[in-house]
Amino acid sequence: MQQDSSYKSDTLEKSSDIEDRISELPNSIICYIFTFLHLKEAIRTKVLSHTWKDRSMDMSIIVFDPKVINIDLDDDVSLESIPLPQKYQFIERVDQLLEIFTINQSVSFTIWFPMGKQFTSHIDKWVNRAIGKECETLDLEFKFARIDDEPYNFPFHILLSSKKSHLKCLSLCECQLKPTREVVHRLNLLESLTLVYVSMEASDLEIILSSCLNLELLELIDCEVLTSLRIFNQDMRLKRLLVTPLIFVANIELSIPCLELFIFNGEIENFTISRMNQLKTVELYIKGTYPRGMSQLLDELSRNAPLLQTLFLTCHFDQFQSYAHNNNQTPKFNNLTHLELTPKGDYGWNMSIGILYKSPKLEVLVIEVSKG
Amino acid sequence: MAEKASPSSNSISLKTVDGKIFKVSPAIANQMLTIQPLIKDSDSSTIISLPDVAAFHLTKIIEYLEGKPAAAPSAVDAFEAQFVKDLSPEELKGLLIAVGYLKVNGLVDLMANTVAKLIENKSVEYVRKFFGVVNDFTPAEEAKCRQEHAWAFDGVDED
Repeated sequence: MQQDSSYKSDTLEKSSDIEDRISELPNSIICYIFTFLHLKEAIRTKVLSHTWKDRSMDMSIIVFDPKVINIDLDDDVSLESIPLPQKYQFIERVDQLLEIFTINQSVSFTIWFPMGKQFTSHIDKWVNRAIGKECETLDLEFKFARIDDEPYNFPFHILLSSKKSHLKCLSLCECQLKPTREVVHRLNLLESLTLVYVSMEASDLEIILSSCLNLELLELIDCEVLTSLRIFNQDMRLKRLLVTPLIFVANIELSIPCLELFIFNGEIENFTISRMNQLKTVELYIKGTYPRGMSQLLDELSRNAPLLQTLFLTCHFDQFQSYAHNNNQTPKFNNLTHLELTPKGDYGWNMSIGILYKSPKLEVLVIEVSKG
Repeated sequence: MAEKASPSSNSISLKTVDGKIFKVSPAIANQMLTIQPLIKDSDSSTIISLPDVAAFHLTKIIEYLEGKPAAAPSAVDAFEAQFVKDLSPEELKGLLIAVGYLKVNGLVDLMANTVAKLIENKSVEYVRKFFGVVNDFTPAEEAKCRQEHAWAFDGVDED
């Protein structure tokens, strides 16, 4: 069998050589260990010896976060009010570190720092570098940037000026994403899109979804303007959809044949699905009362998601006619194996019993008692 | 490198650097990605030599692959915690090398993570001792290197 040239088989037999065998590990393993550490720790190993100083740091995950200027990541108070000189210190540090770390196609590249529009030229430079190196995973987390600045605008112009965008996973927090039909095709390889606290119109989302047909995961968290979410695209490959709105959502209408997982956490007025023949897992954490009544919602799921296996349901059951086990109106869940309920309100228990009788394959049942 | 051995029922023979032969099921051997392509072409009489793996390490690897619970993540966590708990730093390093060489499913992550946890927030001296790294810097060189990356030493206990 082929022997890896970076290994010396004889070193294993001599216990006197046990010293410093770690330095002789293939660089890939050392760098793999680094991925479990903050890059500050990785940098410190440069002081171990000449071998370590000159080691090329080909890490698969590069995260530039406030720790590179020694600000604690959990200290939200400090993070909310980083003074300008420290923000420039961060920029300088990232520029230095980009001389040390290699970005390539397989690198997941993250900038996590409260930076808004006023730092556009610096952020653009980093994004440009990542896109130029054919980076596939880009994560721009500018949490708290909007406290004292306008959000950074995702630079479609960089995607347009490069030969090709290789981006497969894009995650944006407190950025602005303004896609137009002319530029959005540059994101056509995208498989995963996560938007956190990104202001957008329903039409923006529509533009993205109509172009990104390879999208398998879509996460919309605290996206404020999104009061209506309608996705009817029979061609798309979306498998997982997670929606956690910041404010009340008037309407969610879905018809996505490939969708396997849907998670919603928030307040909602109308939830309609159709032709969801692959939907296996649904988690609904509904705040307040569902105006159309939970019976309607369960009926919707039962009829339009015939393969549903796992259902998590937290909701209020006040306005709900009680189900009895002999009631033929109770929707049937023929494939449900796992059910977790947090029923609130007077009729929650009736409903739980009702579903039990109508789920012949149920294996796991968890009922969490909730106060109020 | 493959030798012929007496045929036995449907198991793969692995020979360690210290000459011990282990018979494992194809299901176990297939989780060692480095030898996976060799398994396809081998019959029950083939012996696959592992030049970078000692018997102790292969024993541990097989123990891991056979013992890892299939189901609940919490059970896996408990099993993995127990698995690494009893390893000395020397054993840990040796095993990391063996596991990295064989590319053992799941175990590469576990070993790398374990080593990472052990050196996290530790001083340069500690990490040198732990890895057995020989310091070949002159004091002046080391001071210069520390100076270049001074920010990275902020908040670390020096000895």
